[in-house]
Amino acid sequence: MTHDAVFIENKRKYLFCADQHGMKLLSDVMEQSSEKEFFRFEEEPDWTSFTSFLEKQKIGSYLYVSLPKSEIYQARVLAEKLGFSEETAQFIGYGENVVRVFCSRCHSINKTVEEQREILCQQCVLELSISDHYSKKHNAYLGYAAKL
Amino acid sequence: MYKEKTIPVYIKNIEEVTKYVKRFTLASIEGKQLPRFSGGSHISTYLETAKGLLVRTYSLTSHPDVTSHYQIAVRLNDQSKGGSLYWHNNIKAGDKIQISYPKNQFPLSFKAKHHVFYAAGIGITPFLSMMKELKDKGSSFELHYASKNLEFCAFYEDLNKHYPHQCRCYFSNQNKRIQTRSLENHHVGTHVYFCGPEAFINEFTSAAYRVGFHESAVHFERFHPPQPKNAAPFQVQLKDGTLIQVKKDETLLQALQNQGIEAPYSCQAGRCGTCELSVKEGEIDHYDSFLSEEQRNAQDRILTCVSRGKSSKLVIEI
Repeated sequence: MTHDAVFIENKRKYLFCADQHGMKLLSDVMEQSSEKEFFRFEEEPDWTSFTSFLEKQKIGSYLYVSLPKSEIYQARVLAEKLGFSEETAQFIGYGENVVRVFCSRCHSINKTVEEQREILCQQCVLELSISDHYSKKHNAYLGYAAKL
Repeated sequence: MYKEKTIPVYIKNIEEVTKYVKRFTLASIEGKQLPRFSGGSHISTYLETAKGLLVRTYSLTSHPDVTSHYQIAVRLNDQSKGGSLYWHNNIKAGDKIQISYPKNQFPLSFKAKHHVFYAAGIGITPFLSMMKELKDKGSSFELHYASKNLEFCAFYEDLNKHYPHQCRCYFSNQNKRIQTRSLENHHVGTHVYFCGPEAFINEFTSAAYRVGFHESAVHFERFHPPQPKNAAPFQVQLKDGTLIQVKKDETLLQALQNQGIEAPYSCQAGRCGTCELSVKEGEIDHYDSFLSEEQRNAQDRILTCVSRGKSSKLVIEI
């Protein structure tokens, strides 16, 4: 989800869903597209509106989404739930690589930058060591108690 | 002749569905439960006739969870070479036959958010078990069903009774023909399924790709494999050096069987891959829908039930 957008020819319609910066990243592809429709994300993504926008789309639509890396996974999960697939969508993440950490004690999700190995859980203040056990369900790495 | 593992059944009931379609209920002779199957499955039926063994495949039309019996529907084919004619004229209640275990080369996609079935004529049959399965699961689906007229529209009443909001029928005698443009109205996440005559499947699959359906969302089942336009006779050489002639109006599989060779096979429609044999020499004309493009180009394997020699001689591994 970090590559550049690639234009795919001969689609009935092109959908561009992005925030302000994301729209800039998709501008080259936009120029090559004929029939197109836009969904603009605000700073705090409105996932309900995004879902409604995708739900009404018909077969032959091709989707481009560009958002910060911290949000792009959620966009992908929603789009795939509605039937978009690798063959019909591209997801372009930008910015700092944010890692989600699942707290083993309170089960809350913490967000942190990739380089950090230990964090404090924002919910229960437990010191967490970030493991390499990844959960697809939570889109997060498991955080163990750092000190026993 | 090669024969797969079979289940002995008897004909429990025969119903006339339309003038040309009969529904047969099959139950286990031994009183055992039959295997459960998945929507879209079919069985091979083995009929011992005076002219020899007739093997024909039919979609299971009963509920996939019902294991006390199976049901199939057989349309009397105008050009029947014995299969449907035998079912209609010779099979009686109480007759015993052998059937294969259920097989599925036309399964429902677990990725689909909405399933759309397009049937023409007796092409309705695989969709009957699929719709039963989907209704139980609470999944979203719809059916577009083309027939000449109401009289010939098999299962019309059943369909309208059980799926009043999902079925749409098109009768050509009322000038209501099923149109490919309805494909344009489906939403993202839809998978389409086609079953009917060759021309119907070709028209709808081409239209689906044109509209923008990805090939993974397009599913179809043919009654018969695509027919070679100008089939020519050819020769095959077996492992022991034996030469066999394949006439222009017979398949390689039939030619092998006529010589008493136990060549493997199952669907006889180029879909399942059971009959695949290695080819050591010669060029192949592929007519199956099983091998990948890469495998076809390698020219080193053949599905004997449908494919033929492009060169005048093939050397095969059997």
